[in-house]
Amino acid sequence: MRDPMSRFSATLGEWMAPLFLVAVLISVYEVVLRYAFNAPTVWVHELTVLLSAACFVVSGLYALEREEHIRVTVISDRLPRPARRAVALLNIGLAMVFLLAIVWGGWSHAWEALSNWHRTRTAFNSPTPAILKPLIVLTAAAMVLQILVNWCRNGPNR
Amino acid sequence: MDIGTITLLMGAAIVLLMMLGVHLVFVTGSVAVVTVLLTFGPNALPLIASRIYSTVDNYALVSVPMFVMMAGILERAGVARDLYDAMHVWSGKLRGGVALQTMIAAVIMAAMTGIVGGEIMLLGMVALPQMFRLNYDRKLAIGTICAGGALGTMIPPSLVLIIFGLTASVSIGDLFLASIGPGLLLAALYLAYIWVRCWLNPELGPVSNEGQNLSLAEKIALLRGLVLPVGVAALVLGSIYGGVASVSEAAAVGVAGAMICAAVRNALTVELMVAVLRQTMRICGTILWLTFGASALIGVYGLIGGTKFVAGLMAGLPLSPLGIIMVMMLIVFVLGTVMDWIGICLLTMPIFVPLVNELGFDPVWFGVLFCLNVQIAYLSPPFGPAAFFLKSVAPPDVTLQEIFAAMMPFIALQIVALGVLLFWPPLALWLVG
Amino acid sequence: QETFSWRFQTLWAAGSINMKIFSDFCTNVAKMSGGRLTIEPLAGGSVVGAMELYDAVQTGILDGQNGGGGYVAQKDIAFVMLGDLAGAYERPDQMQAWYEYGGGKELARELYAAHGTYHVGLVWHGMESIPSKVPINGTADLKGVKMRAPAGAVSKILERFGGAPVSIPGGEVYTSLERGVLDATDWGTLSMNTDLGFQKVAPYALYPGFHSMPATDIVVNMDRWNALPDDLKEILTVATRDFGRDMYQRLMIEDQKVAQSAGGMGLTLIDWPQEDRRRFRATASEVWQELAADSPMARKIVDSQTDFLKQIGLI
Ligand code: NA
Ligand code: NA
Repeated sequence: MRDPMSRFSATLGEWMAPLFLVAVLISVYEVVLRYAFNAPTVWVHELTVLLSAACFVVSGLYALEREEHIRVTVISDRLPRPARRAVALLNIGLAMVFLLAIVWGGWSHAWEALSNWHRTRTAFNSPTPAILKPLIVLTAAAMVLQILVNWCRNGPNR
Repeated sequence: MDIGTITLLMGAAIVLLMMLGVHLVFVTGSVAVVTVLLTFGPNALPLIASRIYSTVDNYALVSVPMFVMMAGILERAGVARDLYDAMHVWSGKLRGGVALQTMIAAVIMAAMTGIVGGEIMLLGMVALPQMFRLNYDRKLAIGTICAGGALGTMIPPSLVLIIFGLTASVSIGDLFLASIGPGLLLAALYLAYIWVRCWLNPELGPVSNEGQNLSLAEKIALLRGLVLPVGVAALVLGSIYGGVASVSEAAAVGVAGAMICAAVRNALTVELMVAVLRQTMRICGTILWLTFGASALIGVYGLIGGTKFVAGLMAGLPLSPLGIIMVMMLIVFVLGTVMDWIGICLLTMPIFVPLVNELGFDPVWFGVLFCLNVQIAYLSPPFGPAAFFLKSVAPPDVTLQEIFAAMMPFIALQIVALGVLLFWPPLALWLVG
Repeated sequence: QETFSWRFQTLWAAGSINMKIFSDFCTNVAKMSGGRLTIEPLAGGSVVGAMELYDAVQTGILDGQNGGGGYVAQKDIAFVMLGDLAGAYERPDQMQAWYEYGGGKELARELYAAHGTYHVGLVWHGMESIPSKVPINGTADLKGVKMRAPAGAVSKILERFGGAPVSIPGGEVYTSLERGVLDATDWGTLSMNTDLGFQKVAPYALYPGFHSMPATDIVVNMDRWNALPDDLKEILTVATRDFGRDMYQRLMIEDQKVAQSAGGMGLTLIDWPQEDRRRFRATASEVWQELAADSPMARKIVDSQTDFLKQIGLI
């Protein structure tokens, strides 16, 4: 069976995916209200962006758990096993560099946005910064763990 | 270290890491982080998360998952298969007929969307497996989809032209009008190329034998396969051009249309929707995180003085005005191999736009030239977004290197079109007046 | 002597006349300081997005910005009340007088200091003009108008006149106007709008404008500001004051050129009568009061400007 971290990543992605459908339905609702009733909403566009953006962020973790991220294999496939192992380690190292930079550099603004519950101050005034900024940091942190889990899952020989 | 050396090192690192097989999502991102650490130190690290936030908090991206959903529904409900069966039979003895029809469909879809990712992924999900099934040459099929799908920003509406217009303070309407000629030229070049290749070598685009055995009634019955997808296309086009929906909203209308198609065929089940939504999540994860790394790189390069570097390259060139434009196009082309178009626009336009005005060229013509060059940037390796979009939806045995190889003839055609527009501006400007 | 080489990002797009004027400001500072303070002008979006610009200055990634209060809205609504008190003024010099002599700069500096930055000065590009597909001759014609209005205040005012605010993002405004998804939009000054070709899809423009006069700013990271010797501080302050004048006068000339040739480009200019302008301003002032209730700093900024507007007879 899969480990708890992978189960978390997969389940979170699966539970958030329906938000895409919500984004579609409210967008159609907006089109109908505006065209047929001349009554556009002030919330549909902003909520569509918020829902989609939240999915975009978390989708990175979901794809990582499924090891779907794209790479060029033309050289690495022909490398001897020790060299391939070195490339795998390099991959983990660079992933850490990128993800930890997001966590380290992003957490203070994320915390500021969350603790002060930053809103957009538009007519809808959604808490988009307060939700998305922490979500980016937390997802990057989860991706750090998921990378290590993937590495253990594949064994040291890959 | 001067910015020129840093630029070379960054470019070399990106190419090397990509070739070694590091996941692309971590290549651009980690190069951005290391560069900013070495030049500005850890205090500048908040830039990375900040770029990601601005990237996701962007309405233009919303249509990406919507196109993927549209394609997923049409494909799983069997609509795609019926469509291609009908196209295959009805193309009769025309060699490469299905590829030609796919290219025409790509042009029509380009009028429905202003972005590239959604269109390539939709074609990749709907058309690619079908062209493989009909024994089309893999490279021809892949190239058709990537080059055709990239037309999404060459034929209006176009996000590239909108961003260029806003950046250069140039009329967006004029840019849209001016891009039609070059966009259609590009499509015509692609069609001619496909036709000639298949005419020279019939195995690249096999004709259907089924057609001969079918009666006219059976052939007409096959046309029913066209009704639903054409209906969706008409719904989307109609909602945009009828002033009902904005361009991004029209993508949502398209998803609703695809769901209606599936319902008509009694295929709209919870299982289908769950599978489509999970697939959408997976594809967004592979593609959008790639753009996060690319966006971080853009910010870092802007901070360390990328624009100044471009200015240095342009300063004091002993060239004719047209020669200067050609140098600009060369810079865009080279940057396009490793950078996202939006980054190229932000870096180069502060230098290029005033210079273009000073030299007395029409900025609308220049905008369309830039847009054509972005078509090349989408396809050119190693950082070729079109290839990444297709890879994320293609059957697993399609590798990135195969995709890039398939694109080469189409890149050559794009360079031809760029040359034509460079020396013959009326191609763009005759509609603008 | 110590030299300072700084990086400022602006909100303005790379090829706009506004960007050119911002670059001129940076050149002036270098000349006035004899090269002791140089500022590299970075175009909109080149390092960070507009909404993240202020954060980048606060943390010191950038030394300063030519940003705007509207983009810091999430931190405190007071930034918005300073950056664009919707419907308040008729001309930039009126707000400039408030900023310089009516208590404005003291309040601005207090607000920005609380968030780790120094407010050097405000810069105006002029009254914005509303492009529309239908003639809007006064407040009564706002009823039922689908207008893109991203800012909270403008959409609230519009709603009170029976309009329908739409929140379509910037990149989709042109096509949405063209196809009739929108009737009108909030955008830039008359010449900024015609540069983008809005007159081709929206044949009317409300000019001279009245609904919004956003101010951009020169804001510097507090530590960087404190590190400057006094003479450079003064040079930057005076250069900013001149930047404010330069920006609105050059854009005023551009706007007037367009106004002269409006007929030739098929554009009908609509000048609202005084009583409609007053009615709009009265409703706007109710909305300011509503928004000011959210923050003590916003309350102070709105009260100070309201007093000043009474003093110069606008309300
Ligand atoms: Na398009
Ligand atoms: Na490329």
